[in-house]
Amino acid sequence: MKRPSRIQKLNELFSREHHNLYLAALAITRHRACAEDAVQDALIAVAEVDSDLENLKCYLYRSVRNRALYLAQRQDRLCELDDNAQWIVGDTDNLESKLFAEQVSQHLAELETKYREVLVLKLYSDFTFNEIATVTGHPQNTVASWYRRGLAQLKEKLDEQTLIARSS
Amino acid sequence: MSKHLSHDLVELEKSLGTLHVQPPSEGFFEKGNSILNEKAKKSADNAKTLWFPFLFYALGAALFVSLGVNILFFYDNTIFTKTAGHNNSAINLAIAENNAQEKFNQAGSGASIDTKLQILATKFINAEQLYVDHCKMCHEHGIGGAPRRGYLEDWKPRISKGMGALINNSVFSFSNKPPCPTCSEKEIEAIIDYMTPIPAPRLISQSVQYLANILELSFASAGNDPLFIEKNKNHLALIFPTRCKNCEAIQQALSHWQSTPGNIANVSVYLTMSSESDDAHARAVYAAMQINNEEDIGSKFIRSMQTNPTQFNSADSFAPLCQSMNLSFEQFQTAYQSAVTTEQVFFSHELTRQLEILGLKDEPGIIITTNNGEQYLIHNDNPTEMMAIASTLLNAEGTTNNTGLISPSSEMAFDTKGKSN
Repeated sequence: MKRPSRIQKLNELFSREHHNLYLAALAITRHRACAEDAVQDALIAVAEVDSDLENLKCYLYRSVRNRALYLAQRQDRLCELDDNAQWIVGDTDNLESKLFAEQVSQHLAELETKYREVLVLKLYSDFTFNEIATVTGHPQNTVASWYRRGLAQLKEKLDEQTLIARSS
Repeated sequence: MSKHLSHDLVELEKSLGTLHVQPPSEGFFEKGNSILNEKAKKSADNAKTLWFPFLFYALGAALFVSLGVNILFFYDNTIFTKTAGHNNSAINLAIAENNAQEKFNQAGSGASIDTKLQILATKFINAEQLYVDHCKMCHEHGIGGAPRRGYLEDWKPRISKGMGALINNSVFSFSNKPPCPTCSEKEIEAIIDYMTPIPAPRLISQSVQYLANILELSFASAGNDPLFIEKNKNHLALIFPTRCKNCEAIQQALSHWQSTPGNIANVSVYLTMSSESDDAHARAVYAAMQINNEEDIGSKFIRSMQTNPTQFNSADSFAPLCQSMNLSFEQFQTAYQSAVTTEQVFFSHELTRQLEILGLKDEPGIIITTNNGEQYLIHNDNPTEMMAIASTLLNAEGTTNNTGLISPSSEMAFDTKGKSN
């Protein structure tokens, strides 16, 4: 039986993982168009690699992350990124959920990239800590600590905002 | 992993779980698929059309290699006798790494044996192998305080001294580092480039070109001649690698220049500010200076920026400055707006970022061009001293063309303020 070519494998991988790839990029760029660009650029780059890749999935995720980091950095320099852009959304019919999503979008954007990335991947993809560790290239325990710290920082920011809202 | 989280965080985790991320646009998946299908089609086409040219190339290559080997055999004795004395390791590496055909292609048919040797010595340096042979033992794990390969924090203070200083330290030993007498300068340069996470800056040959290069190529192409510092160390050892607090070396250099009438062709003072807005303000002050024709204001402003951490971001915060320049805030604002464009801000922001990596943030710098085309970059930790030096240079006897206060991005944006003696 003929072995599937690398591009065929990449195609299958993309069909399976496209949402998670997009999430990984979005966690870094916080901008939908940028995240989509990062994934597409990475696909082109990986498709053009000549040699056989040992772990295609891992390679693709790393490429997406690198591209997203580059685009985010460039975006920050070229124009002011709209930090209030809502990339986390809530239930559109529920005002409370909408407001909460707005706050979460804003405060997540303020977190360090590494915390944000782990939080988004853990909460909104079906990745385990082990998988996140593989795709980000950090040890599993570090990823778990970042998740906990990220959550704690996010909570602190949300509580702070609630306090300010109450006092005013 | 939730079992390790406190109750509060588990609650937060649950509430976050009710939200979701903004979905990708509708065509996202289809576009990704079409990219891959296109690539698959292209590679299939390539595979179909590859066999005939491949046969042709293979025959050609076989002929060429046999010709190359014959020529090498003819010159064999001469080459190995001549290389024994110098650059031995590089030549050996070259021979190990490349076949005869490639070597003689590089040398060109009409070149002398010496030229061929030069090419062989510089073109085929295997930095990784040299690193493994000479440096890995200490530099891989930072034994004895050696900067580790690829660690920016280890290399940052060293990179800022420039490639010349790094090569100098490698050749002539530095602190407890054993010297590397068997390596040529080019080999050391290649090893350093292999070890550093970002390329060390070479001497700046053209300041404007340098600024432009930063945008695309980082410091990699900042200079054409990496050994310029080494070759001109009588002048440059005084300035570039020193970054002295007391500026004795700079004073010495100054007196040297001043004792040679007409030696300085051009002096550019540029500022590296802490943020793009600060830089924009510096430009605004320059514009205001042009209105008022008062050059001193610039240095006053710089001093106040450095000593007073207040951000100049409102009419009130600009008030003392406007007062000192006899300008209304509206006049100042007009100057400000005419001075700042998005492109400039981006440009300066990039420069600031690069300088930050090299630990040169918040420092004014001076670029001096001499009449015989040499260029010098001066950096110092003390902004007041730098402005004093700049002022001395700007009024130096024999200086034929001075450039006034400029900010990094404004070098191209403003006409330089020349005055001829």
